[in-house]
Amino acid sequence: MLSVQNVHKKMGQTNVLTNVSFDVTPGEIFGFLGPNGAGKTTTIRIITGLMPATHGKVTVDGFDVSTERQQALSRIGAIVENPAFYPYLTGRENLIHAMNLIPGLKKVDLNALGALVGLETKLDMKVKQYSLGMKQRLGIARALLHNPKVLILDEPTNGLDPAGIADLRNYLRHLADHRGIAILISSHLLSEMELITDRFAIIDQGQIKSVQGGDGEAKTESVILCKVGREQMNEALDVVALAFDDVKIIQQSAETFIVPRPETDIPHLLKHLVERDIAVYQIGMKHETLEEQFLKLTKKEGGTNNAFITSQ
Amino acid sequence: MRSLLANEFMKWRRTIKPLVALGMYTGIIVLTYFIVRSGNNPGDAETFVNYATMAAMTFLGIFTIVFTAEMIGNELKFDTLKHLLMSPYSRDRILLSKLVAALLIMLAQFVFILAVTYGFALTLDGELTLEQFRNVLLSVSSGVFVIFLTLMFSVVFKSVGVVIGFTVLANFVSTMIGGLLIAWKPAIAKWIVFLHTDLSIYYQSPGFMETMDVTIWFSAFYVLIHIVAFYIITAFMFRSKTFAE
Repeated sequence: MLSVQNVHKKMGQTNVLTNVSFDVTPGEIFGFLGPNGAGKTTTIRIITGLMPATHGKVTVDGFDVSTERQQALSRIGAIVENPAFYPYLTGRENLIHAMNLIPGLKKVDLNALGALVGLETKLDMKVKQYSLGMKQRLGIARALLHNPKVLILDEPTNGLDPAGIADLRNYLRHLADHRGIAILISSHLLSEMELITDRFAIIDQGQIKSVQGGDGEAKTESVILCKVGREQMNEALDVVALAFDDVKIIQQSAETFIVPRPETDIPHLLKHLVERDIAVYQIGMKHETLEEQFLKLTKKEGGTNNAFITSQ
Repeated sequence: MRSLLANEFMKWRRTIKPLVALGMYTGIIVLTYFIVRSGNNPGDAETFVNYATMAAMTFLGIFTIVFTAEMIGNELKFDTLKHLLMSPYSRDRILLSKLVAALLIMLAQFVFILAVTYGFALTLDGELTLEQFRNVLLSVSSGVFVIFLTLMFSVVFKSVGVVIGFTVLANFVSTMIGGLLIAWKPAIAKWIVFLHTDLSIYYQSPGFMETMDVTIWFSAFYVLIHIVAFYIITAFMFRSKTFAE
């Protein structure tokens, strides 16, 4: 539905994007993760026709954004960066304004749309009286006004309370599952992305570092986490090294270490440790979070990560 | 295009400024009416129309600059321009809708000024001539010119205040320098476009333009060339700028 192919963007002498490629299929929620300045917003700006790509192609439902602008953009609903409105107009007037920007759009039931995002009683209030969360909801209503085939949301959970975030998550899932909308979400809130997305791409320094998930594949990697006594740690590490060939053991603290092996290897590991009289206080699977993968993939050569917000 | 115009009118009429503008036009016309009627030798309808339209047109010029500057300036201020530019309509069409809306809004205010002025003039003695009406109509040319100039500055500068300031300054300085040049070098002065924007001057102060040895057709053509050039520059910039923060 949304296809981004080898998109390259050069600004001055700087390569802002280098060969960015990904596809979002109908009914899929695709996450777009990256630290500040990674190129997320530039990519979204190119998809939404706000900025031309230096090279590469973006198509929406088969229509090229640069050469078939009207057909392509009429299939997109988007919130870019933040939901911006005319503060002196009411929510309803802002939606009417948005309706007038879509050629050939038939009359839309604004009350139903307002009810859908929980603003049914607030539509006739001026937007300057809206909270940030209400503006987010109105932004989503505006993006959905013309039943788009692709929905692009840049940081959609900003300003929403936990209940609002859960509502939004459920609603997006509903849109993807029941209306077949392809949804692209860019966010810094990694924990939220883990819950919402089917697949996600990690972008850093203008390049896609990884596209993960989909086809039943687990979104996160799992490792065995083991806790032993401090005084027996070195001995335990030797035992693990003998038990598993070619496994990189990571010592997490004075008492814990990680073995990147599947759950089925726990009995084998436990047997070896017990045979050597090592007291095991805890053993089990630890799921590598999206956040950990993100940090791993965006780690700079100097050993530091780009600053980002991990959760609310 | 009609829906884009509807948007521009909605954004314009939902602020307090149109009411302020109409109030000020009415106020200045009523004030002129009482001044003309006062004294031992009260003026006639023609005198009142001359003074009232001159005063109201000065305000119209200022409000036209403000309203036009805000058409793009407020979109940048509220960060709503990106939403406009993401719409399936082309940038050329969006810009054209803003230009047409600015022209129609200016003309609507002009009609309001005419209606109020001529309404009051009917209560005064004296004839109202067609020649005078023609002069009033011709004075609207300066409003048209100022819209194209302001729109061009709007795509260059982000701030509404800076756009207004530049437009007023360009008008003021050029007219002042032009005024001086007319006395010393009229052959050079005739190339200053700001001296040609109000075509009614050919009938109200013909000697002024005769000094420069120009005709109303020269002025009309010269102003037309400028507004076309302004629009080409505006369209080129509006098409090529990303308007990213």
